[in-house]
Amino acid sequence: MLKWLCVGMICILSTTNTWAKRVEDDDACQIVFLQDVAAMEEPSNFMAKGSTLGGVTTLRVDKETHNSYVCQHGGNCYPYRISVWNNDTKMVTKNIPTVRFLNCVVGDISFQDDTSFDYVLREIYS
Amino acid sequence: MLQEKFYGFAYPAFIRNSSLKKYLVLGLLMNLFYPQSFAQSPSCQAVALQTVALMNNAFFMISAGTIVKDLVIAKITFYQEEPVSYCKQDGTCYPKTIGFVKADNKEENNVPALKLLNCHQGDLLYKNQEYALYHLVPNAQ
Repeated sequence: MLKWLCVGMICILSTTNTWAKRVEDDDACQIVFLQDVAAMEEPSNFMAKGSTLGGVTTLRVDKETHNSYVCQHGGNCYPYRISVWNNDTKMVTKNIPTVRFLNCVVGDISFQDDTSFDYVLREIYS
Repeated sequence: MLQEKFYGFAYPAFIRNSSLKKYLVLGLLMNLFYPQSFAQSPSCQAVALQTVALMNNAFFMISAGTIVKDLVIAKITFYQEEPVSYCKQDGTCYPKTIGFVKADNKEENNVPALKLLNCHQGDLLYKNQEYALYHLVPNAQ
């Protein structure tokens, strides 16, 4: 009896610990910007190339346009790829990557509605 | 692997929701009040001093040195850090100044982004609780 009680306690502690770590991990995803990138909510506000952002939780993909963007928990969203009109070449360069994940990878779909898919970002264990 | 699927460019989802309505209204207003002052003269032009994003489409940017033509309106949005933008008749807007979070994660605001070349902000055209629109009028010759 005591043996099963101990096993049960270990299971509960282990699950709680994993859950707590996952929540913590979701908050811990960091990205570095590879280009100057405008915030989608306020396109006059930029994250400069080389700057970093933490607490990135979601990669959202628009179902219709296939545009994708990363979003910070409680913060802004930033395009995952951009198109730039280059004045020198007089051409539009499309699909320029804007961010690199520093310590996380794209996980499973965590949510979807009529317009978009949300992929959770999970920390890479070192 | 998954990331490789994320190609494509078009208007983002958020435009189709709330922002689109705003810019449709803005475009409508600008069509209603389109200043005739440029009808017989070169259009109002500005040069991009930085790489800037369209105010209604953060997925699309123009590089520094690009000349933006056919601007008709200065839009001043209240309660924003970078409030002034210049807009075309179709509702496409470009910020006058931009704010940066730099590589050292320090902030720099009011960095000039767009400079008017042959025009300036004129009279008030329309105002509501969110924003005010001003004519862009040609500079005196």
